[in-house]
Amino acid sequence: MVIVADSSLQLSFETIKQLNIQVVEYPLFVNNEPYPVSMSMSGEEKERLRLLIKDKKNNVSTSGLKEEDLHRAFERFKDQKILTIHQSARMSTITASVLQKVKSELPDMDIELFDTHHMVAAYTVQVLLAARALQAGMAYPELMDTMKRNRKNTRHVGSVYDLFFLQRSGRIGRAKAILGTAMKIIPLLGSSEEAGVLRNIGKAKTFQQANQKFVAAMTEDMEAKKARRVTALISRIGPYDRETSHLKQLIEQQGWEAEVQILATNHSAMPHAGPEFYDLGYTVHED
Amino acid sequence: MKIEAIGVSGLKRSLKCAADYLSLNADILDNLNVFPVPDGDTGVNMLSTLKPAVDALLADEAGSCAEAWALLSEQANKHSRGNSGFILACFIRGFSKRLASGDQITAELIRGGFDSGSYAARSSLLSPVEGTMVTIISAMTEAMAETESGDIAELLDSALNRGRKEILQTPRLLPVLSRAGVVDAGGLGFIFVIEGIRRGLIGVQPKSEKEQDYRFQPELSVAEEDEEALCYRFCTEFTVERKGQLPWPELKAFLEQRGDSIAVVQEEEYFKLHIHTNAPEEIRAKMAEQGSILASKADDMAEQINMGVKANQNNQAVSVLAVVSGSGFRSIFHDLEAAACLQYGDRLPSSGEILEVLEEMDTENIIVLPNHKNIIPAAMLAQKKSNKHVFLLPTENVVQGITALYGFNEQDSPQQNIRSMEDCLDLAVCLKVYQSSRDTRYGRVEIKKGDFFVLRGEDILAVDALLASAVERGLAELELDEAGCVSFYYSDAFDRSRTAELEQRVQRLQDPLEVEFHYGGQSASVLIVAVE
Repeated sequence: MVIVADSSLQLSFETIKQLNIQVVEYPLFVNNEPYPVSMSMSGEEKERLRLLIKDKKNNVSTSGLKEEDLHRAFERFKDQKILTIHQSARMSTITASVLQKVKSELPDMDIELFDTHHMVAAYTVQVLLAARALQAGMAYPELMDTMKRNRKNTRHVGSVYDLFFLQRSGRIGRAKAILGTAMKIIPLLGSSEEAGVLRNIGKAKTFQQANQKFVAAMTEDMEAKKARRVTALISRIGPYDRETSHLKQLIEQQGWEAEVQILATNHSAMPHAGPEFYDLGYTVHED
Repeated sequence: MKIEAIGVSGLKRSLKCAADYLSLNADILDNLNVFPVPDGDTGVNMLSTLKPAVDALLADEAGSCAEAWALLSEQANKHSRGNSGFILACFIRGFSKRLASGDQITAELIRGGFDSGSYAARSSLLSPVEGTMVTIISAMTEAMAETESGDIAELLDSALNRGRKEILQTPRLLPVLSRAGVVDAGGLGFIFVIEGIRRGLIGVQPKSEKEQDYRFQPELSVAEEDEEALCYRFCTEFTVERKGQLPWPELKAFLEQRGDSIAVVQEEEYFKLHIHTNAPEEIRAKMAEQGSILASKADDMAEQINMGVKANQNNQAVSVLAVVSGSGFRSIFHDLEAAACLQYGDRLPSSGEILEVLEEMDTENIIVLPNHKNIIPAAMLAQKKSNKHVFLLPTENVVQGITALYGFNEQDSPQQNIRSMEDCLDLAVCLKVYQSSRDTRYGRVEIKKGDFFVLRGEDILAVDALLASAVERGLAELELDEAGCVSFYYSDAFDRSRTAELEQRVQRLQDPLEVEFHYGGQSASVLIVAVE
């Protein structure tokens, strides 16, 4: 069995290779021209792209996954079961349609589509756990059960320092985009009860307040599931070392058995989340 | 009075009342709609199905109830729209089978009609789901079978009682309803139709239902089903003139591979298909193989969901009224999503003034932030006098008001907002800096005319002839290790050339610490300082 994911995955190139995850790229455009991107982009290349995005005169966007790229990716593994794991179909309806279409065009292949109901770090944590389980030899039915359980136990929260980009890509309204601009308020977004839909979960003035809010959400989830173990991924765009280190430390101080990693965000999330952003995706383990 | 039979005129009157009842309450159904897709169109779909059919019936000279119902069925099928409209049309069509002849409708015919309609509605669906309209129709049909009376009004009453009881059980049957805190919209729409028929029959006007009666606290702990989120985007329908028998097993397999919420009605001359799919063009091509396409539509449900979310936000809106002491704070609170601000000057506002603003606001649920200890009693009085749902969060100063708004989310219920806003009250410490206008004593502390003094609540933290020194000494009394930002809200009395000096003094105490200055415009204090 092979796992196929898309480039909204936030894992490093090395981890992707090590876990044998096949990644299909979301095409990226700068001012309507294709822009070269790949999962192996260096830190400098990502920063160059971030600065292009930061200049609001540039229109940087992604399009849905291409049919031919999916065909190519799937056909490489036509003799294996393909588990193709993607970010929320609700937030990327074009890609969801393309995936369904490509699957129906390849009736002889054993393709399983899995919608994680999440994005960015919360999508990534689910792919990471699935790939590790597969590598550890977990059989397909058990893997699917585990993935479904993980999906239910995953939450996504994040600090978006400039809502302009989410507004430009139609993910929030204009009024929200100018929220508290003069006061330099940090809008906090998180997953909602509705699969794949991000909601406003509050605001913060300082990153310490934001991180406390995130950890409070985690605590609530850990207590609700009577859990001790959690896998958490923090992905960041922009100069947020201090903020993300503080969050990691805060999680580690809670006394849980916590695996926390900080990742430098890959390119596909940048045009939507903007150049100033960090998020936390975590899965609570019910054992 | 016992009603043993209905003639054509009685039937027309009853059905007109049913359409009116549905029309009056369609918005409620739209707002409650979460299944199969939360696209907020159940009321519109059911009304678009029933209303033109009833209008056609009213304009017709049908001689018997059987003819009248046949026309209603034909028109409802023709105009049926969306999942709920489709099932309603199927029910009407099934009902008509029991009225093949007859000038009048009796209780016995209604029992049989419900039985037949219930079967037609269920059998049109490839995968009927319990907790939806088909469950309500079945329950009402059962209630009728158990009622032996020949009185039509009594028969409808018993069916409605059962239906209204059963609709409250739908969240138990369908977890998506439980998580959303609503009953099934389609099932409720069916109850509204029958309620309208009953009222038309006994000569009672339609009434507006209360949406709140069909909402309850969402059960967020209910396990999420393994269903995929909006896998199929287009709500697609085709009416196709039949060439012959449908190649059913093959067609069924074709449809099941391409969508869900599939329903098919087969008439002698045509058949009608409803499906949620991502491949409307493929479905169209397949339908064209079966015969001429008489009508078709493909609504984008993702678009409908977005619009529905926006509309819902307006209907259940909760907003904030902040009482503020200066024009600067007015714009700060507006920026932080307070819908209204009551600005006062030297005199604190009365309960009447607060009440006046509450009544002017266009939302029913309002959270009031008094932002001053001495305004809380007036706000409580206004809360009591208001006819709206007013919630008081007793913020004692403007900094608490600002941090409370960090927890505000207009999409949440008032209760959820109060909880999360309360959690934010302690995110900042508020200091107020005053300049004394005369020699005075504050407790044991001597204050000379012109001195600046710093208060935290009732406690005096520092007094100094120089503003910057008073602020520095006041801040030094606080634990600043965990602080990230100091915000100064200044009044007209503040000399703005002092900002750089104040910034330096703060950073001398703790570095790195962000320092911000905002115009508050308050009348009493020179500065209000938020440390967070």
